[in-house]
Amino acid sequence: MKIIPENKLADLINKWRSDARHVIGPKNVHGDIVFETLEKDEQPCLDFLNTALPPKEFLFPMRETILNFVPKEDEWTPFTNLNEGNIVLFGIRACDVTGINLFLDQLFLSDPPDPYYGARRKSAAIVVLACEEPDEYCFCPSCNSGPALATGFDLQLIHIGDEYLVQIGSPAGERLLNGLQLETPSMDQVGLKNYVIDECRKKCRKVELEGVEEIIKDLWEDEIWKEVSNYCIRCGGCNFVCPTCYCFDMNDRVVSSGHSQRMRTWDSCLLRGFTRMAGGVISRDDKFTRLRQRFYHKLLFWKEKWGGPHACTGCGRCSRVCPGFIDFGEVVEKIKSRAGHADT
Amino acid sequence: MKRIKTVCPYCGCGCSYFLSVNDGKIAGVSPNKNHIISRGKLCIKGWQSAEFIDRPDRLTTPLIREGEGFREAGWDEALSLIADELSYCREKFGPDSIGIFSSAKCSNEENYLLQKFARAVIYTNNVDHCARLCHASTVAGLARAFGSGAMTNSIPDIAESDIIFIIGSNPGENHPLVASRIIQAVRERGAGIILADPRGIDLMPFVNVHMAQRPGTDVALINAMMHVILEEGLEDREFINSRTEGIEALEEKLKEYTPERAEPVTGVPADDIRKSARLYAGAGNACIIYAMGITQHSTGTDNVLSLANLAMLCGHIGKPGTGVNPLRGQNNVQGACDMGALPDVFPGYQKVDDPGTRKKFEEAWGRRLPETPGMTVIEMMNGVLTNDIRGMYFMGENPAVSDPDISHVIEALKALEFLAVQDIFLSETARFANVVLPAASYAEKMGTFTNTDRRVQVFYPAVEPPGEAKADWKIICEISSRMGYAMKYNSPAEIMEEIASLTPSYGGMSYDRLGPDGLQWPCTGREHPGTPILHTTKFTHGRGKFHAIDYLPPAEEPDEEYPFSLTTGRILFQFHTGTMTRRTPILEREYPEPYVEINPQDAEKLGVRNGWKVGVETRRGRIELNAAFKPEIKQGTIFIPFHFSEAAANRLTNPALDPVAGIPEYKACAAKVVRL
Repeated sequence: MKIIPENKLADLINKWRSDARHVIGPKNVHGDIVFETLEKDEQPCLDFLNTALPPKEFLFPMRETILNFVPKEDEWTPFTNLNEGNIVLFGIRACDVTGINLFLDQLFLSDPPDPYYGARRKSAAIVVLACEEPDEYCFCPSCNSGPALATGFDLQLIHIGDEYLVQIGSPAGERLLNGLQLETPSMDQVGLKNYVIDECRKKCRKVELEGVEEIIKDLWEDEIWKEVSNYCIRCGGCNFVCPTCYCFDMNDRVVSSGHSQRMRTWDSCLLRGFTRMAGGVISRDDKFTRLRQRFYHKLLFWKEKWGGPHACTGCGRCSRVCPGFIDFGEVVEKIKSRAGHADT
Repeated sequence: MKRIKTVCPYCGCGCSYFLSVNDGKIAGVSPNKNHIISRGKLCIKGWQSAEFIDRPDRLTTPLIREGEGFREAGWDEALSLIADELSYCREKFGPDSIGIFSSAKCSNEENYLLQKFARAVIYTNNVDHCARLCHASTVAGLARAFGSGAMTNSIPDIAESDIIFIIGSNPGENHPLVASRIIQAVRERGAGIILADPRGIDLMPFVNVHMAQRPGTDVALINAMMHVILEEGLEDREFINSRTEGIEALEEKLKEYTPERAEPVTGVPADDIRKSARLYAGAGNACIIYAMGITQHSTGTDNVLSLANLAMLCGHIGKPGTGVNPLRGQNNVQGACDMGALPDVFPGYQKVDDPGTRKKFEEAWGRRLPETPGMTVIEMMNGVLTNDIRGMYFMGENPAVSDPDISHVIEALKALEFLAVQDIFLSETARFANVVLPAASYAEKMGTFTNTDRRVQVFYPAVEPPGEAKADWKIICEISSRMGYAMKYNSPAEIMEEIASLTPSYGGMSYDRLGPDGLQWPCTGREHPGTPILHTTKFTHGRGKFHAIDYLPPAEEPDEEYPFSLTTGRILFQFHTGTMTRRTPILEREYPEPYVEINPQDAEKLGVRNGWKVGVETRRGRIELNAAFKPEIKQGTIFIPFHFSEAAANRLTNPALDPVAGIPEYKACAAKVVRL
């Protein structure tokens, strides 16, 4: 564990940049905080409520060309340079890192691994910035995914007074600090760290997920899916902003005669076309069946398939992004209130 | 990765978000949590709005017609050819032989320049755009009633309504971020919704009273509501006395419009009319939200005037959560109107036939300007076949899919002596052009858009235009200069300075003031904070004017041969002529094929099953498409989305026009459905 004064952070970022690393960090753009490349001497904004999009897009882009090929012939060449160089994801939040570690990695790195995700993941260093302040939708403590992480990062920064306490989580993290003379924190500073995290944790909303997988099993035919889906305006936003959502669509396009491209873009199970099959059959044509799928996936199916936690990191983004104000926590409460009342 | 703030190119909500850019390429879309309209939310079209930008079939070089096809050409050759051809038309047939279509998809600055080009360079007022086809009747109607032809309130304050009267609008599909405010009002205030719509809408679960009127019977319905309000003494006398004029004639007129007499005309039970009238009049805050279902009729202006009557009768205007709120369908259709891309007005709705106004513009532009109002979009198309129009110039419009009775439009496009089109794709219309110019998309240029709540917002360039494509404003400047009238601007901000100097309602607008949420007009000076709500203490022209309106049936009513009433419109996942959405795989996957919505009971009588291909026929044409059962649609009514050129709804629609606004009757004509 090390300690770094606020005014030394710039040195750290500049050092990474001079090591030919591409540093991505939170920045204020037109009054909103977004993750952008930190150019030379650009400072990140470290006092922010979480961004609208999770940083998953730096490992699994919203849209990318994955293949160039010649139609009708058996010729293709990979388009993406799989050696993009090293990036540092700086200042990302514990909930979002949990999304990467427990969900995206599981899906994309399981056999057969996805080369595009794999290459980016391998070259990315993760520097977490623990949260000091939640907003009204945050519930990471309920998902054991924040405000700070115990493991699963290269470095983790916790803001204490005018300084940041730096936890080193991996040899790669160690290397990120190479050449910097940093002091070791005092007992008081370590104590302050725990206090900061506890205070933030106390302010977070509570959404108790334990056991919900048992209750939801009996609710396939329940009215709640229709009730909740009345508020869904079919934007797909809850999928796009979710740190644990990974579905994508593939489509080919003709660039010129003799040259086509295969594109991969984020997809959404809230869309009707998501289950469109050859011949035009759509297996989840009713809106409520799609909404039900999303909640079953997050609360039951993922757990059944892979074990581990529910597929939610408590980031609250799906609630914030929903034009119909469908709130994940409220739906979980509704599900729990149906315990023992299943229609089936 | 960089994030560039932009404004959505689809509907009129005016959502802001960021375009993500990586190595000079569009990498995606990122919501803007800090924006007053979108609040970090987007609809599916917004989420997908990056997809069409880098399609390989973008136009990248000027094209010149050669036989049946085109050849690639340089800018110089293409621009000179256009300048020569337009000059030739002007000399040989007179300036009014040229027709110019501006665009509700282009920026304020571009619309301003194109109407300036028409008036100062060509010397014609023949400039119009697709607002003619959507809200021309709003501009005409609300200007007469209130003095200002725009949404009276703001999108955010819909959430402060207690009763929301939605008529001829489907916000869940067509203005999703307005729907978000409606849902917020329902959730937070327990707001009620009154719906008048023959088809049912996306927000049905929240509707308290649904009046499924026959298409084109809106005046009868609204008059009957007002009859009930007066009969039961629910009107706001204080407001009527202090703020309005002309109530007497309306009161006299309304006597005959009892709900019982309206019932057989509209098909709405008298009790529902009474219930709706009481709910609307009795609400603390009640707003009216309407769109094409009101405006696209041969009685469009009457419909709008009737809604203005209703709001004034109850005093539901000039306060938060109230008002008469037309939802505009294109991202900059409000702005294109504000900029005077209309045949009768200069920017700011200043009349071209007013000598004082004309003098002001003549002095500013240094040219003599034409005195009489020009032709509308529809009149220009008709004018081609009567040889009144010889040459046309389209900026980003696609009338070969969007105009009514397109067989007629195509005939006209073929008959033109010269047609130039600037667009981002080779649209159905561009295929008929002599010269096609490649334009930059919204992601490749800078400018301002004015959304439906009169909010002027800056959008920024995210990437370079493909190939040799150029921003529309630069193209206009170059043609103008080639025709002997120098237009020299270094940036859109400079054009905005000129706009502000000539347009009182934009007088205080300048790029340095257009912050995160923009500014709402009227904004008359540098210190003016903009105007979220119009008509708060008095109407723009003093007193609000009531108009006594009689119900007139649609120009074409169902009969034995054509027993159905056909109405058309948009769906959530496609947009207009599909130029952008049909090139967006996720959107196209939702609804890739044309279809006709029909009530299952009607279909059963025809022996048609869900998904079967049917023929739909009117006096103007016939198309074949799949039947889609829709239990909510009123029996005797069918609905066809107009996005699909392979079965274009506008082969069927009736070009009958509203006599005041010249808007065609897209929303009602007689049709038959045949089993194939």
